[in-house]
Amino acid sequence: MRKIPLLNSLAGRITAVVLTSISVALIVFTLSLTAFDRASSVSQLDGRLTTIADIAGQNSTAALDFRDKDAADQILQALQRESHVVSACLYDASGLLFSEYRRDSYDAPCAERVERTLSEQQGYRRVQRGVLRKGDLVGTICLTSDMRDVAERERRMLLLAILLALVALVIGGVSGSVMQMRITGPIKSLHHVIHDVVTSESFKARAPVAGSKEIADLASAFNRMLEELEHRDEATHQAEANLHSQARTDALTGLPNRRLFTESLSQAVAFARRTHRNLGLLYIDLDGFKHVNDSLGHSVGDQLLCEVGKRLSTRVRRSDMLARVGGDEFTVILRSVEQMDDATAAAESLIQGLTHSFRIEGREISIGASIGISTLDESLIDAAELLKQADSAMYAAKRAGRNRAVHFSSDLGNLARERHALESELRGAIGRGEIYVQYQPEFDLISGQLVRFEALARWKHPMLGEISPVRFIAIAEESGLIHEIGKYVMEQACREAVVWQELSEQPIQVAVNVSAVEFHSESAVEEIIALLERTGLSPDLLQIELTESVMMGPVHRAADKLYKLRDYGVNLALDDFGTGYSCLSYLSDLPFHSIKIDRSFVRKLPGTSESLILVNSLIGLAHNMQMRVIVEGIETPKQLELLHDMGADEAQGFLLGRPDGKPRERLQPLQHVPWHTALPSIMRRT
Amino acid sequence: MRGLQYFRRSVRSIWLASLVCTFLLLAETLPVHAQQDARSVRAAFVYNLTKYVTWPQPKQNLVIGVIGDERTGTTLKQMLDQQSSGGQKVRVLLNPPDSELATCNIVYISSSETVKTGNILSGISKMPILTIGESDHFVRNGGIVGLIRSQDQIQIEVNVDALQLAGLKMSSRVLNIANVISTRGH
Repeated sequence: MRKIPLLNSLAGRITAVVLTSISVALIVFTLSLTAFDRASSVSQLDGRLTTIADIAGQNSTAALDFRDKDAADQILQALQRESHVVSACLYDASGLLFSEYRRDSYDAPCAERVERTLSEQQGYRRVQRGVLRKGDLVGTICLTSDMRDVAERERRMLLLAILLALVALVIGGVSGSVMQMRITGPIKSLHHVIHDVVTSESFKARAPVAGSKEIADLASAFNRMLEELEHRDEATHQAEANLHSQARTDALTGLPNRRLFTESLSQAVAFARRTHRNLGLLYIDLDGFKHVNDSLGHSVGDQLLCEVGKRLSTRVRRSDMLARVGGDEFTVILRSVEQMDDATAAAESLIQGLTHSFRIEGREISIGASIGISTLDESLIDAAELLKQADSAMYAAKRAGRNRAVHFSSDLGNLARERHALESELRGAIGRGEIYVQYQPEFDLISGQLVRFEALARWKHPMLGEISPVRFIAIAEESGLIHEIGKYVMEQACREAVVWQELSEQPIQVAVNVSAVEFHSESAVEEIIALLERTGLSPDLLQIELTESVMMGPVHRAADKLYKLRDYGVNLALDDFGTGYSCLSYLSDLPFHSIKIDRSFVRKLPGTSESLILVNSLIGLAHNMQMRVIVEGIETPKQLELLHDMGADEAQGFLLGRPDGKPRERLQPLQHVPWHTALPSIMRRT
Repeated sequence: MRGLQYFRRSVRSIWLASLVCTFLLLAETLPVHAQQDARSVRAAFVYNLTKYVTWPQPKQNLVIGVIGDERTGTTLKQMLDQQSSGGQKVRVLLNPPDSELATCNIVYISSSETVKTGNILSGISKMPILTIGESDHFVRNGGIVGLIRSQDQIQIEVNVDALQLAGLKMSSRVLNIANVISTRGH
């Protein structure tokens, strides 16, 4: 703090003012008192002198009248008793000196004539009085007195005044400093409070309300100001906190937004680097959300996002962070990941969490999630790269059939480039006749008869040769080319099936795969019906195979379409059963005729007892729901035997017949399960 | 009108008195050689005495009866007659008959009348009459005030017993400067 000179301080000024005013007052008082006292003692002296002169004069009248000088001398001699009277001159009526008295100490003799009387010397006082006898002037008396008494008294008076002044000065000084302390004390404490406020940067402090009314008013006003400031400060902090959280929170779901996610990811990556820990990142994209948004509106979409956010939150550990980074994209930072499997488990848990459908505005909506997983591991990638990896893994998950989690691998990058190239090749592939259809037979396991062909799209690239359907179908779905391809395949299949009926005595069904993307299109059912009418294929000869992802989105819509198709007479099969994460509960409410157990289950057979039990359970489950069970991917007689024993209704696989472009050849004569490869148990059953 | 005239006269008489006094005092400053000077001084003394003596029943006029030689009488008459003293007009009677003595306020007996003094005094001693004499024995013989010549001064002698007997009062100031004599006990 800057040092303020004493006189510049309020305290110094007050003291100075008090002392100065007291001093001035005392000086004035002392001087005027002394002067007044002097005047009063002089006038008192004059009065006394006058009285003495009058008495002496009165006593001298007879002496004057009768010219008795001795008597006059005697009378004047009596003035000796008045010690201050130094000279007395008695003049007769004619003004001549008649008698004189003079103290030894006084050296000025009386004037011979009264009119020559001089004014008194310095330090003396003279009184001249007429001597009257009953009103007649008989003489004049002139008395001179020294002023020792006056001077003495004056001296004493001055001494007393100075003493009093000193006492008053001390009292004034003390009371002044008391007053000053009363004034400046509260001001000082006020100052301390201000200082505290400044140094602590908090408006919590309060000044003591004390001292005189003005100071107390000032203190309470100051306190009110502090309160106001505190309120405003709190409001400001609140507003700042709100802004801060708003800027980092997704308004819709209340989850952290992309900004906070990006910050947190950078911190988490840095922290993991420092502590040599692993870090996992999940990139979640909802499957079927676009369909919900398009068909039910944004309001429902928004509510769905909220619910998805809540659902996901319950499956995210406290140490991890779930964020919404885009329309239907979520991310999870997995801070405590040891290895890749942990991240995969977390992703599968999230997918599992979404299997229960949501109920929004009275509608049941099912949604899936494709999750890309990336982990830091030992690599030196940064947060941005980690995010990129998760993103491409997520796309890979989409391509892999949605509603699944895919861990990033370095191949994904290449695949993406390849995919891009393929997509442009795929465009126009139909026109160029590169897309064609193959048919794979399916057999009834009871009768052993061929009952159906599954139509499979194939792409023969002029340069690259056969492109795997797994690859190009995913590309077609993402690019929307699937509609064109799907229609083409369905038309081809239907026309072909019509021909089959003429060749075979038994009705032969045709199974066509319809992707979720196709199925969700507004006119999917109408188009199928129109196609059937156009081609003349009986609806009961068409089996539409749908994957579980069809159920993603508004359940009732999918159900409506399914019911429409079933009512029209079309058979419905649930494809790839067991691979998705569908909730089985609604399956019984949907009009599927059959389910197709995914080949991945069959491939494990005959493996452990666990896989047997699993397949057995699936078959039992389907039968309980009054559905037929189709098994695909049968490659060995053992598998066929096992599945037959478990009660599977129909079978498909390389063992029984590869897909080819010559289905008609299997109809004349109608092909049966090639019993020569089958086991005796099947024979027995038949 | 009479009042105004009286006032004017009073004023004039004050002036006159002052003049006389001044004259007398001037005369006093000079050595007293002549009898006349002594007479004048005595006359002034008489006049002054009137101012220090209180009569029991004051009248309008202050009557001074002069018994003695003509010059004394004349001097007194000249100097004091018609003068004013304390609001009273001074009247000087020269050698009044005995019968009129009783009307006098002051009876001045000059030294020439030493013989008759005893008789006169005994006749009026109990009356409120201030008796003034010139001789050394006047006071001892029952007179009240003696204006005694002593060297070149006039000495005042007062017989306080006689004063008391006459029923008069004299200012102590005069008594202070006078030679007070008491005949009682003599």
